[in-house]
Amino acid sequence: MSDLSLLTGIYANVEHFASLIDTVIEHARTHVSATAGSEQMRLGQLLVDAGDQGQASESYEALMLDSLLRNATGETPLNLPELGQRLLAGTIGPSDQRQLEILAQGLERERSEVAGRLRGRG
Amino acid sequence: MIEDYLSGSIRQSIERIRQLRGIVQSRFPREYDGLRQICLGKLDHILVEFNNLAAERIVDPTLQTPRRIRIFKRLVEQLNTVEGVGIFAINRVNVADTALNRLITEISTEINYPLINPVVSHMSQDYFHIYSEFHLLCLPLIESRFLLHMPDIYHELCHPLHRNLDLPNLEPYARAFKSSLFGMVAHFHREALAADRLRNQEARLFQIQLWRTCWAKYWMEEFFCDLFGVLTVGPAYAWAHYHLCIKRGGDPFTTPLTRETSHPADDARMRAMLSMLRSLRGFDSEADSIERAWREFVAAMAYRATAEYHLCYPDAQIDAITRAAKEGVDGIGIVAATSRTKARVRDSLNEAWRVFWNAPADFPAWEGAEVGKLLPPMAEALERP
Repeated sequence: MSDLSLLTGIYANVEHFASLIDTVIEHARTHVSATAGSEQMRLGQLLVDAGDQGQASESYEALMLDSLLRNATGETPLNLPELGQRLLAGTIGPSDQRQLEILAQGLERERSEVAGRLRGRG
Repeated sequence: MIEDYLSGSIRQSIERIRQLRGIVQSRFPREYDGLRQICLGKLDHILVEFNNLAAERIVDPTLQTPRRIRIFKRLVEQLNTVEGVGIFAINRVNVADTALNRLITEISTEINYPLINPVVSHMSQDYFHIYSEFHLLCLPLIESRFLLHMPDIYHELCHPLHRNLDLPNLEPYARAFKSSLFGMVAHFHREALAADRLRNQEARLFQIQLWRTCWAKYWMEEFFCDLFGVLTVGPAYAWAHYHLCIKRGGDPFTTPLTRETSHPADDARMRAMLSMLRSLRGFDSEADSIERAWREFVAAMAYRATAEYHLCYPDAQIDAITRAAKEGVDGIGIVAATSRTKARVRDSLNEAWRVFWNAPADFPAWEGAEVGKLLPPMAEALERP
């Protein structure tokens, strides 16, 4: 009945996606005109697949990302497939950078909440 | 100013890593070599990441600083976990932990566990749980002096499979798990469409969405771990669930309506366990006894299932999960409780529940002697003045 075994798994997932998004943000800053890096392509595909909770692609990772990005009212903060398509298409514009920052902030909130629950504060 | 803070705080964290490495490099029994290696590997990784963060040239703080703070927070959390979980367990090694480590090795051999055996520590301040990334199973301080909750070890052994679903030897299990997961997602998708067609209240649509998220994030894994427990240790696992629910549980039909819950309803879990026991053929009478005891408990406490409970945990889905879990666990070569091979620990835990029900008042004396047989080094340590 302890939550810890499940929460440590969730924490690992949050950390994994948060790190991926921060890598893409940093790549976009330092390689403004360069082609999309492998992390950007991976994140783009994940966001596209998350649009139907990973059902069509049978992507467990996309289903998990969709679950983690939903807020308390069950909604995702942005149109994830559209952002994903733009990441797959190549260069990231300033508005995409802002959207990535929103996703990163959302995951940081989730990370902090799960970490608090793991420490018995939740 | 925040960048100055980061610079100083990163250096302090690096000094903390240096001191923690010193502790891990001290002398410990060889059972802990794996855990020590994991801790050292994590400390090395965190050190590299802190050094990268310290060396980064700041060009545009508005773009870089928020990301740098997020990375710093994640690294600090990783460091806290290595210190508070892995190194804490190493630093409190004692006779009881060492005895229990030998028992876990025996259980892993009995069931043909497909991953590295976890290390065990009596450091839990709550209940049984496992830190999969450390291969560290935690029990309450004196839990291994008692037998009736011990079947929950088998449940915990299953969680690390879910952190390693990409391993080739776990492929049949991963396939069964993912197929159950997407089956459940599709089920709630259909339910949402139906609710929408009927112009159902928005609240119902929200609930369906919430249940789908709970199943995806937490519950499916928990059901698979329960079913792994039933498959490997048999009726003793369902009895342990009954035991825990009475002692610590709330309303076993609780269904989330507004907020996520990490654990599924205890009654739904019991239904899945009974379904698995019956599907194994050979445990029908035990399943009948457990179901009778469960119903008596539910009636005594006047707990009642709500309409939402039935929508959230439909019979057809529970049965499908049970079939998939059996296929997945069989597929990775786990030795089932129905096997005719002798399994000292499994047999002892089932015998404990039989003895308990035959004469509940006399049980503690029998239990003490049985623990002495299962964990002899610990029994010797307890007898010492």
